[in-house]
Amino acid sequence: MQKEIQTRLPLTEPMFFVLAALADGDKHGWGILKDVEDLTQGRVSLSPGTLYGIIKRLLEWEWIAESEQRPPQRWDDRRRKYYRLTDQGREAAQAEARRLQGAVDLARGKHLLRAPKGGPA
Amino acid sequence: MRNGLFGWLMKLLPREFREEFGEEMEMVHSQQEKRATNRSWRSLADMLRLALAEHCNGLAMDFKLAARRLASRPFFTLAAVLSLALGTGASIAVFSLLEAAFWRPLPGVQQMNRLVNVKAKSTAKETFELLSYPNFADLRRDSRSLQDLAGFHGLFLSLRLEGEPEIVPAQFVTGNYFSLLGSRPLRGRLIMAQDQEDQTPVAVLSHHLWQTRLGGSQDVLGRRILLNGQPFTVVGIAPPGFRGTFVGFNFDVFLPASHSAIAGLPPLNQRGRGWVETIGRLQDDVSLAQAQQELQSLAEGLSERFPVLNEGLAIELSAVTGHDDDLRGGLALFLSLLLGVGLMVLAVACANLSNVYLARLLQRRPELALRLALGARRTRLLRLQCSEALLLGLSAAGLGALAAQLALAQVPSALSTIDPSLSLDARLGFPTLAFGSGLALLASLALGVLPTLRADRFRLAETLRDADQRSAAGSRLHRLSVGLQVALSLVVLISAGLFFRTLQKASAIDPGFATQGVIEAGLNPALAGLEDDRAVPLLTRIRQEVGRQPGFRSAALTNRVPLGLGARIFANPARIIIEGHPPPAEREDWPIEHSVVSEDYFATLDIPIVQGRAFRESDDLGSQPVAVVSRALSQRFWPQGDALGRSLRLVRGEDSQRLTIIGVAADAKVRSLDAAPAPYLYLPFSQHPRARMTLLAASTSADAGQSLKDIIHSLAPNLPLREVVPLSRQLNRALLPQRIAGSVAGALGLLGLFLVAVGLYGAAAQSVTARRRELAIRASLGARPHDIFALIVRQSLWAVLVGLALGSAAAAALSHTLRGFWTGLSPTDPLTFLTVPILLLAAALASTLLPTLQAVRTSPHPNQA
Repeated sequence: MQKEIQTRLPLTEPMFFVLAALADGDKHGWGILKDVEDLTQGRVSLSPGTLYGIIKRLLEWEWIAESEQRPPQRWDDRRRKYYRLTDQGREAAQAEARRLQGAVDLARGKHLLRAPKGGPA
Repeated sequence: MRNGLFGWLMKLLPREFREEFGEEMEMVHSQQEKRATNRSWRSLADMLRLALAEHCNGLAMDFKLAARRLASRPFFTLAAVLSLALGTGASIAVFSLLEAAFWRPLPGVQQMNRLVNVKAKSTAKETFELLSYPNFADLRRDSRSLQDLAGFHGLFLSLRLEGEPEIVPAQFVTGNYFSLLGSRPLRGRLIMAQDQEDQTPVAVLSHHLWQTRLGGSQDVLGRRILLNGQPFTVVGIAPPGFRGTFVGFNFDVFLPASHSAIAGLPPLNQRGRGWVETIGRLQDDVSLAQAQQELQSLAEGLSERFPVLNEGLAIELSAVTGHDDDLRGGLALFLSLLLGVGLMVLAVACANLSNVYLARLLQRRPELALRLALGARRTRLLRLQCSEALLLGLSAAGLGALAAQLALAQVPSALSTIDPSLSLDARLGFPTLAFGSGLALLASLALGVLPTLRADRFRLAETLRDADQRSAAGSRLHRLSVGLQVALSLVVLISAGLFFRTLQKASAIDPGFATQGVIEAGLNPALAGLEDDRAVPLLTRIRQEVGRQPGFRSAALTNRVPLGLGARIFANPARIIIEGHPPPAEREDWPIEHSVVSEDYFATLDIPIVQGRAFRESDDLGSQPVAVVSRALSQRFWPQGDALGRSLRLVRGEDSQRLTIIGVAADAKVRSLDAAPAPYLYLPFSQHPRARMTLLAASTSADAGQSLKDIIHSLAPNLPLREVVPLSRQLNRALLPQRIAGSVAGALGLLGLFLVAVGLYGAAAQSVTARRRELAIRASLGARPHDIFALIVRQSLWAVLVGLALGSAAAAALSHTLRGFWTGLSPTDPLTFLTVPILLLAAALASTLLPTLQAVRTSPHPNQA
């Protein structure tokens, strides 16, 4: 499984953000889209085409799954699908985050980036 | 508007995708639209990209799945690819021959469609003749409908670069020849009008000669070469592949027509002897018919001005096609036949594989019906089937193209066995590959779509209910395609059979002369720069010397090698007047085929003299003119057998010469192997000397060819020898088309037969499996094994018989169109038309028998079935 994840790294930025959006709870498509916008302060805005292309791919890879848990009926729209991060998906997101972390560390070592205040050099 | 556009773009997505995510996507989109930003244009572009990516993904998945399915059945896949590859390969190879011979533009020639052949015809002499140079020049000067006329004459010259002289095909051309064709030089310049006026000895070499004999050396321009012993300066290299307006022949050297004397051609001012082959270029606004009319009236004017020399001169214009019209027709027919055979095998292979697929689909019917009921889409099944077929088709086309390339690589050497100056640049270019891909696509479509559509007709949903009724419908379709395959294979096999029978018949035909142990060598002393008065004694000396050598039984000279390429293509009638036998209607004399031969000719070729004597040394210019006639001639005019001592008059221009018949020779075939013996006349070389003869030498020794070369070399060191080959090769050459076609059709026919047998086996096996229950019930009710056997066999037998009948009729029709190929054979040769269908029937029965026997032997209890 680990190996399979490794072959799919690095992830595209939108794909990583979709995984990240689902990391703290199940969401439907519009929820993911808004979350990504919030996470990136509006820098990354997914179109439906991009979003659902990614969702389909992640479903195929079993990194996300359709969630059985739905909100209480009065808030629910039957047309919506909710997605949750699978263990494999979480692992993949973590692996990508580590990869990005490695890149940031390298940039710091070469003084391309300053260390955050209070953090290690 | 953008919402509408978005909805429309949604439709571009694969249906599965739409069903899965469509509703939600629209929701997200409209929510995004509410916050209206110009981002939504990007969102539309994203949709397009997604649609494209999803479709590509789907295709890739389909192909992956198809590849996996094919890999899981390696034997089926191998057989399928091989049978399709043979069909496509054969078709591709023949197609590229056709393309090279007929459709490719002539290299180095501009606007070929405006070029016309200008042929002279004498209405008085009923033969085609070449224009004399003055006639050509007059036409050129006076014609308004043609932009220009150019002349050329192709022949062999002796070329000496360094060391031994060699014989090369060359063309004398008028100064405007290259400019009329619109050719540009590769190096230096081409022949120009000035060259002809100045009489400068310049030569242009072909790209081929420059590359092969001079290694493409850069300092070729200005180099001096010897042609027929005369020095010439190389001034240019013709464009690559340039061979004038001909396909299939190479010319290596081009010279100004003003130097034609070095090859013994008539001088440019002689109106009486024609030697100029003429082409013209039409004016832009003039049609062929208009030009024809104008040139005809010009020709009539020439006839009036020079009534004796130009008696009945007429001009015939025809479009330049790159071919001699007679050869073109024959070659086109021959190649089309081969293409037809290749396509037929491909069709049989497709029909067969399509049957295998159909059988599989029918077997899987319950499963498929279940899948459809569970929501699988029919188009999805179709797509899977199509991608598998496409994979098969493409691999087969690839393999076929490879095989075709290998086969085409043999073409040059095969052609050079016919004649060294023949060449055809057949290769896999764009048109051929397009044709091959087209075939592959068609075959794939047939394999992918047909079985699925046919299976569809069985209304898959009903199949769960009723199992037995459908098998009847299925086998009806099966029978139809079995019948079709049998018919197609029969046509191919019968053609192959006829070719083989032709070869068999031809080799059984006695040509009437010895073909074994005789060697021929073409001798042309003019190529060594010898004039006629020195050439003739040299030829006689060579003949006498060879005849005297140990190891040679005898040697003779002839101007016409029996069944040689020249004799088969060109008629050579002498005009004969025979007292008491008025010539045929509207003629003044009898046209009788003839050869000029030296003494010992009949002995060398083992042609018996049945009456009188052969030519002797004493029959020379000072003695009484004599002739030997063939038995057919003697019987035609003197059936009483009293030809000896009679006389003939040989017409030459305005004069005639009285010849006395001194001998009657047995009939020998000269022009064609299968024609009935025709009247033939032999004239003695000593009384009709000519400078260009072929030496025939009878020998039993194995290295006679080499010793012949040595003897000729010792007597005439400068005489280039073009070919020293066994006479038996003439016979092989004469039958080359039949031999090639026979082998190709035979191989493909056997393949077709095998494919049909496999198909029938499959059909019978499937039918037996489908009817197991019924057969078991019959068996338990007392049906004996042979009843069951008859039941199954009867089912396929009808299809096979109908196929045989249709196939025979089609084969007979085809064979009739091709009757020119069947030497000494009726187009409906009973032996072929009986044995081939019987063989096919036997093969069909055998392949039906096997699975049926198995069924009869195992004959299960109905409850087990």
